[in-house]
This record gives sequence, C-alpha cells and structure tokens, in this order.
Amino acid sequence: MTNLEELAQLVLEEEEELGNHSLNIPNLIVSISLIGQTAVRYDMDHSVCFAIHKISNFWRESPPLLPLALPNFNIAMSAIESHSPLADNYVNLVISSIDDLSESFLEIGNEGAVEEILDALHLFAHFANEKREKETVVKSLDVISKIRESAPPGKLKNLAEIYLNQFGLQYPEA
Amino acid sequence: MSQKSESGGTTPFQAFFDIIYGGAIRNYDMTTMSTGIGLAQDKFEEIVGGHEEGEGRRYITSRFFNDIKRCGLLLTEIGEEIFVFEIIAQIKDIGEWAVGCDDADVLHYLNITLQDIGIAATEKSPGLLWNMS
Repeated sequence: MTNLEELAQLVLEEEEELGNHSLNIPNLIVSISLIGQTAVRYDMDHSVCFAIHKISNFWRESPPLLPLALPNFNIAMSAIESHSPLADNYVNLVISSIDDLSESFLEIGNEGAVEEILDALHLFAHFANEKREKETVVKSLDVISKIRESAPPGKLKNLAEIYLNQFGLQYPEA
Repeated sequence: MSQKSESGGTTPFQAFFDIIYGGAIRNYDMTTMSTGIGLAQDKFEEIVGGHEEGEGRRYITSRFFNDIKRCGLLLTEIGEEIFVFEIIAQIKDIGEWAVGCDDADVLHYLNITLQDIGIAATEKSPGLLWNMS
C-alpha cells in the first residue's frame, strides 16, 4: 500500500508538471482500497486503518474532483458486510475522516469535492439502511446535516437538503 | 524449461524468470533472485523504452508483469516474505521509471500486479501468523 501511495504521489507530481491527466491515480487509490477491503475480512486492523488514512491523506493533498471518496466508503461497506467485531471502528474511522475532509474543503471553498462527498455519503447511508445499520445511517446523515449547516446558500445546501429529506421518508424508527 | 507464451514463443526475459523459479527460489537464494529480477527489469525497460506504442508493446508489458506477478504470488504462497518484499521493491523501481517516462500502459499493468500481490499477501498473512504461533 505504501508503494501504491508513493507511486500515486509521483504520478500526481508528474501530471502537475506536464499538465495532463490520466486514469492512473484513481486506479492506484482503488488498489489501496481493494487491499484494505481484503484486510477487513481478516481483521487486520492496522492494515485497514492504514488504507483509510492513506486514501484520506491523498485526497486532502490532491487536486479536486478525483473520485476518491468511494474507495474509502467501499472499505466501510466491506466492514459492514464482514460482521467483523471491529466493523464499527472501521466505519467510524471512515466517517470521521470524511467529516474532517468535508470541513477542510468547505473552508477552502472546494465545492466540487464537497459535492462528491455528499454523493458518496448518500450512497453509503442507503447501503447502511439496507443492512439495518441504524447507527451508521445516523452518523452518515449527521455529516450531511453538518455540511448543510456550513455550506453557503446554493447547490451544496440544496443537495444536502434533498438527501436528508429522502431519508426523512425512509429513515428507520429507532 | 522456458514457458511458452500465448503466441507460441517465449518472452525476452523468460530466461531470467526460469533462473528465478528454478534456481533462486528453490534454493532460497536471495542474491540470485534479486539479480535475476534486476536483469529482467533492465531488459524490459530496454525493450519497452525503445518500442513504439501499440499492441506489441502492450503484449510485452502484460507478459512481463504476469511473470512478476506469478513470482510474487508463488513467494507469497510459500510464505517467503523477504523475497516478496524484494519483488515489491523492484516493482516500485519500475513504477518510478514508468512515471519518469509518462508511461500509462506500464503503470496500468504495474498497478494490477501490486494490487494482486497485496491482496494475496493480505489473505495469507493471518495464516502465516497462526503457523508461527
């Protein structure tokens, strides 16, 4: 995973220098995610946390609109499906790292990245709802709600509102 | 004996992998394996570096990484972690070279190779720990 991450950094530096964009960075990050998802099944918590942090850190440092939110949520989905005793820890780590990222991106006005986070959170909340993981649904919606509160009036606020309303109809009774 | 490629011939670096499989790994000879992989890497960079983009180049690249992957998976299977680390280090070297050449094809195959070895190592690791305990 370290090698994949270092190669992704190298590709990024090269692309910034040459001004072109290839599909390699997302592919490298997806590979880290796949290894993280496998590690979930074997309760290798150090490797899972390592993957989540690598993906989050990489996204924090990379240009906007790289589709990197889903690879982290895929690890969280894998955790829910694994029924691992550590699943809650992994899910919490992913949601809290996404929460931090959304705050950072809102502060710097990177609306594209926040929109991607909203979309990924929305998908994840649906997934958790289907799996009857009520606590996870609540945590995901909390982050969407926080984004709605902090986002400037406009597209992001409206999108968050739509997603929350959707769950208002389907939200499982506690 | 050299393994035949899908088109009936052998790849230019097959001889190196024959030494790696037949001699180095069987005899736990890290020096020979490391040298063999390094020579295969040099040959690969020489061929691919001087080859125009196209199917032939992609074929050579996929064959090379297939061999590297087989090597990594075999070593993972038999639990030779130090050898696996050596393979991964070599793959990273090739990655740095590919980034320097802005070579998306090589990076694509390299990425899949690292991913597959990583997943295999992850699946194997708990077993290794239990075996050692």
